[in-house]
Order: sequence, then C-alpha cells, then structure tokens
Amino acid sequence: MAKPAATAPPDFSQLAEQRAYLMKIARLELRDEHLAEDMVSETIAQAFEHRASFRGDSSMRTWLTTILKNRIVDHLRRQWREQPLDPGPAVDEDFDPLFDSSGHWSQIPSDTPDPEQLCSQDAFLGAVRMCVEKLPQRIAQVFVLREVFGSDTKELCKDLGLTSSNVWVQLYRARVMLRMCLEKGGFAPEGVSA
Amino acid sequence: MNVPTKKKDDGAVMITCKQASVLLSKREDMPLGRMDAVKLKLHLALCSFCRNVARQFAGIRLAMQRLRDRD
Repeated sequence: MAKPAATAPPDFSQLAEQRAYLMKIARLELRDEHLAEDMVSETIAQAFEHRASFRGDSSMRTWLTTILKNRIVDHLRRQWREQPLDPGPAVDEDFDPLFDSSGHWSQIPSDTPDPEQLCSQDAFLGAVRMCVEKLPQRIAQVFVLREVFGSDTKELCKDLGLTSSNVWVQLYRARVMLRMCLEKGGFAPEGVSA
Repeated sequence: MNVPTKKKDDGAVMITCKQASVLLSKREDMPLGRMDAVKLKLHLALCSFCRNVARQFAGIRLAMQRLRDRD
C-alpha cells in the first residue's frame, strides 16, 4: 500500500547536499577515494532518476544510504567472488594469546568509562577511526556495514553470501582487534583516566 | 537444574572470560538465547574485567555512530 507522498520529489541540489555525508561513509567502507567517488556519484544519479519513488517516510539521507549500500554490497560480492574470503580459524582458536589456558584474560582490560563519557572525547573518536583504518580490509568491510550502514546480521548474510557464524566471527574479530588497538591508551582519554 | 558438573564448560552456568567476550560481541548483533543471557549476566556480576570489555564494545559502537553522524 503506497502512502501518498508526504513531500515533493527531491530536486538535484537536495540530493547533492548529502554528498559529503555519503562520501564519508563510503570512504570508511571502501578505503578507496576514487571508488567511493564513483559509488556516491552513481548513487546520487540513481536517486535522481528515481526521485519520484522517494516518499519522505524515511529521511533523504536514509534513502540515499540504502541506495549506496546496495551498490557497495554488489561491488563487494563481485570482488569477493574473485578472491574468496578465507574464513580463518574458528573463533574458539582465535585470540588465544589474549587468554590464559583457563580462559581468563592474560592482559587485564583497562578501566573504561561508560560509552557516553568515552565518546565525549574527540581523542577517543580519533583513536577509533585510526584503529578501524588498521583493521584487515574485509573484516573492516563487514564491520563498517554493520556499525555505520546499520545492516543487521541477516542482511549481511544475504547481501554478502556469508553464513551467520562467519558474519559474527568477522564482527567478533573486528571488535577484539579494535579493543586491542584502543588498549594502547585509547580507553583512557585525558581527564577521564584515574 | 543446570549444574556445572562437566569438565568441559559447555552447558556449565559459569563461563570463562573468553566465552564471555564472545557473548559480549554476539549480543551487539543479535538477541542472546535465554541461557547465554543468564550465563553472561552472572559472569558480568562477578567479573569487573569483562564489565570493562562490555563498556569498551559499547563505546566502540557509539563511536562509530558519532563518526558517521557528526559533521
């Protein structure tokens, strides 16, 4: 049931206003300036072509993000088909150095403030961005789709042709690698640490 | 009644930090099963190290949203 359009179809300049935002998330996902430019330009062109189908019941940013995400997952699927993902060791065997033989932390996690307090520090956000850039490419691709594009695990499986256990292993790896990277001072931004 | 009698810890109520860290990540992506949720809650009640890791994972999630949304 199509609801009557709440807003007039967007004009080109309204779409183009979202370009900077789309570039920011495309860069995080793709780590390739030219590819990100291409994907974002195609997204805006496609959105303009189909502007009559924009109903205004989601924000324009959300609508454009979905179009961009679909282009990106098509691209990743093609790329991964040519170079299949090595699933790596099962998660149980992973990160063994982090834990002793009885499953306790061998390196004690640092005292960490709550998320709001952490994220009020630009230094923390900067450290997270730097650590994401250091993740292995494919782990980062899955992680950024999850956390930035907001795909849930079902979508990730369907979009990327991965099993659900593969998806959550990749996400677990990403989070553990990020926290290891952030343990080098990232969790104790100035003024927060004891 | 689920009593931790087995040597191998599958099924035991008490889980290790290693198992807790897997569940802490998993719950960011899907609702945990009832038993897993209970095991994790119990572990977190007893383990300040894993409570820190829980805040770290939550902080990473929030940071990604902030990096996306701030201009």
